[in-house]
Amino acid sequence: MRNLTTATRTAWDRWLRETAGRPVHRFGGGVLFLLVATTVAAPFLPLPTQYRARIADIALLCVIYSIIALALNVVVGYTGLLDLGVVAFASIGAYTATILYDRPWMQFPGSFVVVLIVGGLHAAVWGLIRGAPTLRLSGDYYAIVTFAFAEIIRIFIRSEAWLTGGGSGFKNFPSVNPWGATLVGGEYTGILKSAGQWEYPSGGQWFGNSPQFYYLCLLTLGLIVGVMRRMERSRMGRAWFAIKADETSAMTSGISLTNYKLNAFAISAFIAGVGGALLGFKTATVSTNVFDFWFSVVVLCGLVLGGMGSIRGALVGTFLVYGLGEVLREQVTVGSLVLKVDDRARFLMFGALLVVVMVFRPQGFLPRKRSAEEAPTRADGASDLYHLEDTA
Amino acid sequence: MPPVDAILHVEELSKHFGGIHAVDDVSFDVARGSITSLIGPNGAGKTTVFNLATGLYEKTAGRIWFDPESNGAVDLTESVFDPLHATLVSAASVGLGLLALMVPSARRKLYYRYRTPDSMTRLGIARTFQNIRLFSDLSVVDNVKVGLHARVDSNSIDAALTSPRHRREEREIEQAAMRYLEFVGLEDRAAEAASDLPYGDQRQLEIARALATRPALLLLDEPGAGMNPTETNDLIELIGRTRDAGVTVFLIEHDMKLVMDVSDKIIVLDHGRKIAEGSPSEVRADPRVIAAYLGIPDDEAQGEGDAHASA
Repeated sequence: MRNLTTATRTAWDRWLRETAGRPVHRFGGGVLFLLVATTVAAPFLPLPTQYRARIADIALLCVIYSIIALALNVVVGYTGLLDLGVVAFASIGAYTATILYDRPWMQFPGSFVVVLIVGGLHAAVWGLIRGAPTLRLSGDYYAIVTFAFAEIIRIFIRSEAWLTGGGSGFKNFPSVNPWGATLVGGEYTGILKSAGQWEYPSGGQWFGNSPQFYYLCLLTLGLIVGVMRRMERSRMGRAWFAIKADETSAMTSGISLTNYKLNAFAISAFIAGVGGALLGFKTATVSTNVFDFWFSVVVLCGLVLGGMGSIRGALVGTFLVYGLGEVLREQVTVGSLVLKVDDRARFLMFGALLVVVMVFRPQGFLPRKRSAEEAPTRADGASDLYHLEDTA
Repeated sequence: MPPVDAILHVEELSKHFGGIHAVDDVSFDVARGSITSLIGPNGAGKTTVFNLATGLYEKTAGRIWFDPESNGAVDLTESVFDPLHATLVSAASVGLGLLALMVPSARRKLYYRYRTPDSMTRLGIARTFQNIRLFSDLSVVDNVKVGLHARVDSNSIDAALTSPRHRREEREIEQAAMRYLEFVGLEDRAAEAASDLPYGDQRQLEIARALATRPALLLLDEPGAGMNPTETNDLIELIGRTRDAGVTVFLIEHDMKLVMDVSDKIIVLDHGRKIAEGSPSEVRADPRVIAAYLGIPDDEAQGEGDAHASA
């Protein structure tokens, strides 16, 4: 017994020593593994349907918000500009995708995946439109513009009811066309919820609740993570990080600010648009009640908690914030007592969490490492890029 | 047009900030393959000259001719047609943009703009800063890789697909970055965060990053500031090797030992005006220079030249 205690203590001490003052990678790695495993298996967990459905529901929400957090990460984490308006692009993506199926004069015949991409591209166009005049802004001034732009989009959506359904948005959600085929009854079996719950009031099936949709979202997230990892380590990623660190010396190192900031804005808006469209299909509600200012704030909150500029950080932070947010929605019954956190009080919890993390880990849970991943090999061969005449 | 042997030919250059004439009608040449120094008391306008030559400021008047490969000089201060800028302007105001096309003066104003600092870098001018401006969040080797940015051309799609071209280029970039680090002697610290380096090494890293942009002309803004004598000696040797490697060096410096040791030519500014120009020994003996530094009237300064120079 004594030996066991000593061994545990030694291991604990060593762990503390090893992780002191640097990102807790080992711990983070374990948490990440658990998250990924649970998320991937969620629709098939061997649990009673109600629990499985709830877990899968929360996991799917986290997956979709992670996509939007990664979008925000491009602007906030890579180029270092504070963006308070990611909701603008998410809602543009969501509304574009929905309108394509819903409006009688539209009735888009193509596949759901095409609609996602169209939504993303439409958002990217607006990303460029917002980005071009704000190239010289930074800090608070940039943040104000992004906030104002999001409000413009929100007010437009609320007032142009002929196009967007106004304040109530889309409730009778259009039947979507998942893979280019018409959706007929019985094609998707109820893994996530009992069958009655995932039919449209209009009679069509709720694609957003099918395991197919679940894995499509997961695949999209995987794809975006893969591309982002490669971007980070490429010329473009280095240019973004350079702009974040010091705009002036980025310029004198040959990086065109116009070029790379616009790139970042467009890529960020595209991903946010795709994420927004997925969110619309998932919840089967597209309205300004979902896409409001707090949407941006909570996504940003997750990003800050996880560590800006780090993909793993963005994922962990988003899962934490939205996972917690959803768990807090549950009501607990103890005997005759029903306990439930008021919806508005959830933000209070986020605030408290943010304060605690900022005190103990101001850089977030899994920040980007400052040193190189691995020591570069010494130069042995000649490189065409090296131009100094060898005089040694 | 500039004489053939000048890599940089500054012609009646002026920069005014409101009523302050930071640079006032200054002309000089930087000879190709030389080490030229720009000295003068604080506030003389030295850094302003650098900022004009690297596109961080727009001139008030004058020209800066830059001739990287002795095959014709370009005026760095002239406004040029910028396709991206023109596209943005056109897109921003379709109606106005089309109207402006018809009015030559408006066309020039809208679609032309002064060269941006990154285009200067692509032309072949690199610089370091008086207050070190490294990318402190990046590793040492990544700082140099950023310097190589303008000399490689794989794009985001290559990166997303990890195309063979992209992988080959990344290998070359790493090799080249390590070679530049070897040149300044930092190859052993390549993986560290740039901000973890000691002060002197940070200055050298900034030089490595500037060299990685493959400049014909390297502008060093007070490279020796805050260095101890050993570090200064290393720096003198590094500047010499840079020149020998085929890069013209133009530097601002207050450390007179460094300036007198390395310079082929010295240009002296005071209150935005050029007051002297010549070899180290000529400048050292120039009464106007001594007066500028010590604040003594010209006639009294005659006999004290040597005393100041040895200080």
